[in-house]
Amino acid sequence: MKKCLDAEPCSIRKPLLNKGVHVVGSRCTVTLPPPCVVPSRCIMPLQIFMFLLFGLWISGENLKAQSQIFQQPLSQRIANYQIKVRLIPEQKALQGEEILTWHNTSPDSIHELYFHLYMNAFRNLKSTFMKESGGRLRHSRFEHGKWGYIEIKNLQLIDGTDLTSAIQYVSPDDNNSDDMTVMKVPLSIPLPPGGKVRLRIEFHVQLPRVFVRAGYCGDFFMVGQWFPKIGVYQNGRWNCHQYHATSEFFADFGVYDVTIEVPKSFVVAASGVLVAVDSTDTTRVLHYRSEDVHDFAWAADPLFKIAKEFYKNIEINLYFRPWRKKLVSRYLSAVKNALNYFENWIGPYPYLTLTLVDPPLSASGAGGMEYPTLITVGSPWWMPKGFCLPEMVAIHEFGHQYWYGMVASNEFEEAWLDEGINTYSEIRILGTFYGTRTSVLDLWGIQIGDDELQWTSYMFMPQFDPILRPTWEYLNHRSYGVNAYHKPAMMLLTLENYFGTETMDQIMRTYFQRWKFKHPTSKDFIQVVNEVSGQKMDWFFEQFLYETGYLDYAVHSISSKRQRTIAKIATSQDSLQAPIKDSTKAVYHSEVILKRNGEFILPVTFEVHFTNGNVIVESWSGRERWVKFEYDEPAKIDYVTIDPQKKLWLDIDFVNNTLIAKKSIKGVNFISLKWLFWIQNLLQFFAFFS
Amino acid sequence: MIAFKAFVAGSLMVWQRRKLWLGLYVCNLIFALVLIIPARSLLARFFADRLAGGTLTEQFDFAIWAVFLKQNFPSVSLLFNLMFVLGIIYWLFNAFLNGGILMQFVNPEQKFNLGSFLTTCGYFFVRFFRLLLIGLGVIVLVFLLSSVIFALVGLLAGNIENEIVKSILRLLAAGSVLLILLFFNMILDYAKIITVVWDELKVLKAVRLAMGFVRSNFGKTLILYFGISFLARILLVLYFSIHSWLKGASAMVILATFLLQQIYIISKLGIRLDFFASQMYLYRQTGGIVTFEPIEIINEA
Repeated sequence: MKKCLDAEPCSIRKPLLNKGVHVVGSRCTVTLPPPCVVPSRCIMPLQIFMFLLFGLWISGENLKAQSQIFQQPLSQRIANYQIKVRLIPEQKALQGEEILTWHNTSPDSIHELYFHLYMNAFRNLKSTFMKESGGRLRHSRFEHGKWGYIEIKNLQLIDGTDLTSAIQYVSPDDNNSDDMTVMKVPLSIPLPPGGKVRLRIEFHVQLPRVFVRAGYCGDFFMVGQWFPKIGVYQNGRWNCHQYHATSEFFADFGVYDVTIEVPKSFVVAASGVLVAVDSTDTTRVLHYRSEDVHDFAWAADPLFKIAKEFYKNIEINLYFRPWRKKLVSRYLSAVKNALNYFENWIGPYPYLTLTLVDPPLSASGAGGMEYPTLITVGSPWWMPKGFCLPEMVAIHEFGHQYWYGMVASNEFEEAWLDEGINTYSEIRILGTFYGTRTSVLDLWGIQIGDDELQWTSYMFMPQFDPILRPTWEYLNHRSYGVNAYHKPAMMLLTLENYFGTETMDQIMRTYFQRWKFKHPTSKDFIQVVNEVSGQKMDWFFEQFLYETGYLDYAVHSISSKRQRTIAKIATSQDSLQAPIKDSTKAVYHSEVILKRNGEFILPVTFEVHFTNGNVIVESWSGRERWVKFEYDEPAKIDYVTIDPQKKLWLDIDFVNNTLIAKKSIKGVNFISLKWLFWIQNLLQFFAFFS
Repeated sequence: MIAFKAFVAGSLMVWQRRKLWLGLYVCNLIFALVLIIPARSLLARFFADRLAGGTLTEQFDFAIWAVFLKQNFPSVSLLFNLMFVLGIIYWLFNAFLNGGILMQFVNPEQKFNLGSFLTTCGYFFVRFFRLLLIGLGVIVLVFLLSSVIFALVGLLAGNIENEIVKSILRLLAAGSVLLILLFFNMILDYAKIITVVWDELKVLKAVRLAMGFVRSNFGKTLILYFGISFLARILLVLYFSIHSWLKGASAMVILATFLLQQIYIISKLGIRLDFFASQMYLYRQTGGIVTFEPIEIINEA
């Protein structure tokens, strides 16, 4: 029996789909019954429709023709999966079967297939993931004994040729023979260019207790990285890396048809569109379809509540436990803001659904993760409004729908292309909707903006690794954070200030439009930058992507001396005030020495402020290690500021960008008095227990 | 009622001992200055010739503080170590002063004399130092107990899905640990009072007597102690309320803020004295000792 259940998001109820028989122009070709505003009225036609749809699905090939979401494929659809999976809650396990159809779009004959078996990262302490993480990652700790793994029960070609015995586990990244996160399957007959291979794989997954991204916690299940997933054949080789502590994923686009069977008490949240629900007395079978995506994740929990909203035709469903109700409007408002921003900025979100999962606090390792059309958020229930953590997580993870979801760069090898660009997007969106200075914190008189927060994370460790490096080769997890997230975001903010927002927006738009549903590399991004800006910016990226130096300009010294003779008063074209004509006034000879502390070079402007209010704006290429500027002005220098508009976010020290001629202790005294007060309090605390 | 009476009488006694109050404030200020002078020098070295110093008078700037911390990390950590050492010295110094302070409230009519005050402090110091060690032991025990309490709460919360209930349980656990700590601190206060009033040489006996006193006057002692603690919280709220009105970084605002802060510190010191004076009064009234014969301290020197 199929019906539209209150507990499940039912795509059929979308206002979009209620509009008519053939909906959403080119985007959706689902043939639907007439409008049904009141749910009870639509149960019968809905049931019939669901029944037909499910019947078609189980008949195999008809599925493609009848239930496709997009009229035209948005991607090449290289890796296509039909998966049936059953959740066994009491065993914390999954029983699954997948039919994989893989297209060889390369010019090569393929002799072997490579698969990711990510869940084996949690098999034992010898896996590369566990060795690298030490059992601690993403503010979570692995609970020993709560192992996770995936076993291939059977692997055969669709014609029945058994390949199970040919499976080999390989470790292309570190030769760790104990790691079982990548398997190789030799093909008896090579697959020619343009050919297709269909495999049937039976597998069993033992879920770990939630540590990183996936697993269980009580009755909450976050099922990610859970099925045998084929690697990417690219440039004449398989790009199929092991699961590392500091890396995420890379896969080809395709169509996912997934049937999930759970006990009836469970509420399921999943990627894609729910196209059918079938219930028995004890179980519920949900059929999801997701097109032009490269992964599929789902979550199940009997305690889930659902909050539903729409952004235009996109159905947004938030799955949360009841005590997180206070955060619901914050999450939903944040993703709607992000949807709106991305739509206007670089292009619309093409999918029909967006699912948010808010894992319980005890499964926080599952929070803050992205999958196509499904993101996990996370925040303690008590988070005050002045602390935008829920908004930050929701916006960041949503941004991945673009940078990772659609623009599917290789997260193993060039993590900055998704994390860095996405952090840059996050800064812009949070700044727009929550205030540049208050986008992270606005509480008790303390304000912190996301740009500042990201910059601070970067400036403490700016030069251990270059941005471009395979993620597992970074010094440590912190360096991964700096080089995948913070430094690239600062690089892009600097680039935006270099070109201006309009050109930068054009760059981002072009990059997205050109590379959506493809696998771009850093070189492709640089090419777009060069092309759109009309400037050859390789010098910029060579420094910041490939090198380990840093950028730091400083005002080294300033001095002003009264001249004995009345010289011709030098005025600058850039002087903000009219030249002084009175030649009888005193003239001061002033010198400013600027210094470049780091190795990196960027042109920079600086302002020389004189005591009479005159301001001279100058620029410096930054090529020299230091440079001296001289002025003859009717007043002494008051202070000098490099990069007064704070455009160079890559500069690791903003404080030394200014120098005052006459020392000022007002600020020092102000802070000292504050500190004095707190020390007096602290001493009294000690005294209380004496 | 007796608790309230004790509080009023205690407050009056504190007011009569304004010199002592002021002296404690000066000591507190001097100790704080020991730390603030090198801290100010560090700040001046970093900010005096940079515009960032001025920025910090107008707003909290996360980035500027991050740069400060990064570039002065060794100095900042040295300051933190110094603060810890200074805290311990101040702790001992207060243990030294406590005997003298309490004696002031034993003889409230007697005129304050610095020489005799310091003599009394010295006379009781060894016993008060022992009490300090007992107090330290109590703190360690309470923290050990707290780990048991939190483990129990963890076990209990492990079976509870509701995060709000879990949070409340943890808050209750933290609150109960704090209450236990304060309760033992109160007992030690009465042990100090007993030591001074009876010139009790054995501190363990003083603690035992204090426990007996608290047990037999449980409600009164608790009301008085936590009543004064509540007053301290009100004072804190009052301070923050007034502080929030002071906006900007003009010289007048800075001066007003400084004055407000010092008034708050002085008031807090007054409350600390009030603890001693009020509890002394309560002990005298309910312990059957209405009048005192001043203890004669023989200055052997």
